[in-house]
Amino acid sequence: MPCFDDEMNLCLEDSFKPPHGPLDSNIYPGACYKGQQKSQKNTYNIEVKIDDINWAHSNVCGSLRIRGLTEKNPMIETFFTGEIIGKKYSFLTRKWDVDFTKDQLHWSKFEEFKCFKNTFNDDDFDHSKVQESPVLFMRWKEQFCLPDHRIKDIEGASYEGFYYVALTKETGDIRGYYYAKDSEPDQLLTLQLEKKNSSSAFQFL
Amino acid sequence: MESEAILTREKSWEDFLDKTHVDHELMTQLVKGYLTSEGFHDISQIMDEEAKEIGFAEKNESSEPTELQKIQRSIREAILGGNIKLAESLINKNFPEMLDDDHLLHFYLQTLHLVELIRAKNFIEAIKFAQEDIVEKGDHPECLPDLERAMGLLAYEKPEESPFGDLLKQGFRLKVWTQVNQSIHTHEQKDTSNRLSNTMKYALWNEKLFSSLKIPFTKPNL
Amino acid sequence: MSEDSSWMLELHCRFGKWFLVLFLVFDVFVLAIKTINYHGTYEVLSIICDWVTLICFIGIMPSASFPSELAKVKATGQPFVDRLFSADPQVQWESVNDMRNLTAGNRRQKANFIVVGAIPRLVYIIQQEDCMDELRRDCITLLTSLAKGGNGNVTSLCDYGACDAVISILLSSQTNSVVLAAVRFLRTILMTVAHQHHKHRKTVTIESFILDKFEDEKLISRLVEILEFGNTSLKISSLEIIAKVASSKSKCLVIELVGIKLLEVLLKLLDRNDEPRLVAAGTRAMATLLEQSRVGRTFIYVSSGTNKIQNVMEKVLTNYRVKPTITYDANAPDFVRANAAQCLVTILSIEYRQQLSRNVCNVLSELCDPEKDPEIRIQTASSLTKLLRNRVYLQNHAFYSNRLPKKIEKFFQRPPAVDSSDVHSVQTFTKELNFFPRLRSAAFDLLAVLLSEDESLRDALLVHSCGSERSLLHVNWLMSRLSEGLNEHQDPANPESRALLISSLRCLRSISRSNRHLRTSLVDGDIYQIIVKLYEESRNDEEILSQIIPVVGNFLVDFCPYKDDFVGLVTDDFVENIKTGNKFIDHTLSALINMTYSGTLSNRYKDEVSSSISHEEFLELVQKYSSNESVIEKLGTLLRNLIHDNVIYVKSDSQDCLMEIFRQMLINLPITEVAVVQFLHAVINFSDHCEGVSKLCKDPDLLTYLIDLMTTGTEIVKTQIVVLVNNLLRNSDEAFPFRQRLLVDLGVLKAVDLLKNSSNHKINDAVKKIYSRLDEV
Repeated sequence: MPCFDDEMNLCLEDSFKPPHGPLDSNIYPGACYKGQQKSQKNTYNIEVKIDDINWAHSNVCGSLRIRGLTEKNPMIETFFTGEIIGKKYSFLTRKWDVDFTKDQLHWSKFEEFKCFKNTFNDDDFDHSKVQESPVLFMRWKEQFCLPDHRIKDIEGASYEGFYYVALTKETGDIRGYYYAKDSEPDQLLTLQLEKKNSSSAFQFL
Repeated sequence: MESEAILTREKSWEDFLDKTHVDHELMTQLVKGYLTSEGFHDISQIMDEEAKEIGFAEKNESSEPTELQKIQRSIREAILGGNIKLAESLINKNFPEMLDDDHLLHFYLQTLHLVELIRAKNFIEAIKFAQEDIVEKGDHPECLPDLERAMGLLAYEKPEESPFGDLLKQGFRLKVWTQVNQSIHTHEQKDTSNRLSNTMKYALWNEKLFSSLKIPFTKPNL
Repeated sequence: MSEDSSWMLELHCRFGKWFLVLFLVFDVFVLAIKTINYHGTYEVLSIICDWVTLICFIGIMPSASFPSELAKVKATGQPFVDRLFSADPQVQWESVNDMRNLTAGNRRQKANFIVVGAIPRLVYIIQQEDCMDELRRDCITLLTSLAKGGNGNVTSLCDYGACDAVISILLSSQTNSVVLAAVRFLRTILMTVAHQHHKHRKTVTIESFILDKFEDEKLISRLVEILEFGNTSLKISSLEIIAKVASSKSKCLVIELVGIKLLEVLLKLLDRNDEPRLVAAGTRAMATLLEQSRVGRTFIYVSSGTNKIQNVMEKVLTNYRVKPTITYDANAPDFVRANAAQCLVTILSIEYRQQLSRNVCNVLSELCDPEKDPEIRIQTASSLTKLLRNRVYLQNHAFYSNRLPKKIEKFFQRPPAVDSSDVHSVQTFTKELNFFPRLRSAAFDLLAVLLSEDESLRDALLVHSCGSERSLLHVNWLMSRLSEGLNEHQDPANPESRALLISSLRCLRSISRSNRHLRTSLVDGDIYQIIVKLYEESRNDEEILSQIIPVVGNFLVDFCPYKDDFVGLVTDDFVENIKTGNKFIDHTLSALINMTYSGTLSNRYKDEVSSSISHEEFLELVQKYSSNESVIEKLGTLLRNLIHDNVIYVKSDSQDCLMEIFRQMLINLPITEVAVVQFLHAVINFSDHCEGVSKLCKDPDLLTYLIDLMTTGTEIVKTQIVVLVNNLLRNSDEAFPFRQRLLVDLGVLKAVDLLKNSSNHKINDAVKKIYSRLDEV
């Protein structure tokens, strides 16, 4: 009789009991947001779906659909991963070709960031304050195309950059600014949560 | 220019050697340590006595060999004298599990026994011994090269002139004895190395390092 | 073998098998003549009886014969065994020593002596009370030498009672040299079998048979006594025996009986001793003892917390930090540190301390270096696995500060080819090669833990370099190692390749907990196809199933590009599994939950499940598992997912089973908080459909109970109820005024009033809506 190693059970979190669900926050696995991304000339329709959130590790991931960006592909869908600003991820990006001034410039576009503006670069910055803010700050970085991640280049489109994102906790409204080195600055993303009265759940084993 | 530099260096090196004083006591200890750990207790005893006669020895240590030293001596004599079966039984008597646990050591003793049989021109028994007993050592890959060499001896009419003739020289007996001695030290949980051979190894390593880095140096004249 | 057959045995020993064969031929011959010339019925009966006896005898013969590998041996040792039968003990002794010289290191001679029957005679000699100590000692040493020839020899030794005889000598003898020989014999018996253990499964039975003999309090206390008073070599051997007995789950209880004494002796021994091999054996024994939960607990209880053991172990770690200048056993200090660290890991699993655990983590990571002995690397990797499990902080520390990934990479490196004439490098090479499968499975287990929780570690290890993010190991590299590990199970009887498969499944499970890698790495590595094949092949293999079901469970989540393939593959099996309720029910339920979770609008996966589990069956399941907390929670979640956005499921419930489930789960049964939340979610999803709303409103009892929860429940339950009430109060049909009145009658307003000033904006939102929807009343 083989004996099973019970200790190898890797499930750590209480199953199906996410600390934040659709009932107490406005971002949860399965949440859908719809809205636009505006550049100087054009407006594109955007849909964002959150696949999974790991609050313990401040990670989020999901998919982002953009319509009408190029003529050849009426709809482009990408997979993005996100960092939730807090204890683990600081306001300072420290990668993706941005520096302190870029960070400061973009975050300052959010009204709620004002109270951190002068202190966020300090060594002893108190990240617990960020949690109390009425918005959730995030960085979303598109990683690859869906459904086929092996497609590297899409004609006339690029997802080199990333979004500075703020989600209003009470309403689920999202504002975001796209930043990429060589692309047009100040592209504004605005999204609204699609409210639902019903929900389902999953959990990695 | 270059050669001159070496010359001067060589000169200063020789000067340095001349000026260095090595204490006699230290020297004796080095040599004695070597002799004891290699199992030459009787010689070290003679050295002791000599030292006493000359008056150099300050402390009057009793140099009576210990039980272990006596055993070592009898095993060494058996191996260097070519009586391998005697050596094996002495080992079995005093270190019961050694030959069972250390198959490599046992293999060397067996090989040496085979070599002794060949030396005694006792070819029939040698072949029988090789076929029946040594053969199972072939399961261990690390034994194979030496096994092949030893077996190779049987193929020559004059084994001592064969390419494997070195096995028939006293050096091979000494090599096997060193192995046995090392195992005995391990078994008795004693340091196998002694300062003299360590120093020697260190010197050789230095020479190798110097020549690989192309640093000129004087080779000691041994 | 019974007493009666002892004369046969003696003859057998003297003349070997020929005696028995002659005896049988003669018997057959006589009987044949009798049969031919039979006279009356009486004689027929007697002849039949004789034949039966003879056939039985022949039937017994093979069981008394030798294991097959011994049967081939040419018997030439007869004269030596003959001398053992001499009346003169001196002759016996000489013969024993001659035999020892022949058998040392020589498998052929060992087999030879066993075949000609040396063992029973030797056992007989040592059992005699007037046996000289020297003779007894050398006989036992000879038996030890015989045992070192493999499992066949050990089996023969046990069959002839050598084990029991030596144990009784160990218990009774006062002569040091005899005791030493006896302890060495017992140690050899245990170690020889254990050594073969990794290669062949069948030896497990022999091993447990031998361990049975050690399950004896007297024997263990004798060994503890030796630990106290014996010399170093005796101590080491008895420590090895104790560790071996302690490592067996079923036999270790006997150690508990002497636990307190043993602990005291062990701690004293470790506290002052500096002989590395003894300390290595001592720490090994301590580590094994601590890991056996019952014995370990006794130990820790006795030593008033873990402090004492911890102090000693930390001291040992410090003493051996700098490699002492000894050359005779280069690995001993490493083993000491590995064992001590293992003890500390066990202690840390009981009482966590950050500083200590970081130190232990550093030591263990250092011992994982590629130049260390493979055995040490395997041991430390498994200690690290235990230490890092569920500790994200330490995982990060080991990952970045100790550069563990680079070290793990080396676990997968085949030993480089060496100069075949250099004996020592060939030896090292052979050892590395023998340990290669185990090294890899230890590495997979360690990776499984490192990658189990933190997505940023998974990404750091697996994501292609882009910009400043650089993957530490090349993703393709790990995927190829994984598929090698998953494919390497050609020999199901070989525990090593099986362990490798299980460990690779564990590692895969950790990687599959990431949305991103489900979509990318596993696709690129062609892992899905391998798992499909593996699942099909191992449907009846419980050990593999226990690891593969969670993996498949992750593959059933919406984000997996191969979801459809796995839905087709496993749905029937998993549903069946839940209905019959076997031991994997927890994981299969989770897998079905993942399958029915959908971000998309399609309900086809829900239909797969709901078509195989009818509403009635679901009700039965809920009743059946009402006392199993985790299963009931998961059933609640499954129901929640099935009802979500699925009108057809609600409509087709003609027997009102869903309502019955809600009533039973929420009102009648005291289920856990988590289960309540899940079933409430199901109710909310239910109330999202018009049919659900009308059914709920037909049950005022349930509604009253739910409205009560609005004041008594926890924060999350309160939120759930206000959302539910909101759902009920949608102006969707002509029954809306009726519902308004019903809810007001049931006291909704009063309950809502209490929540008016909640700080939770979700509740506030819903409360406002409820007020507005009740406005007209």
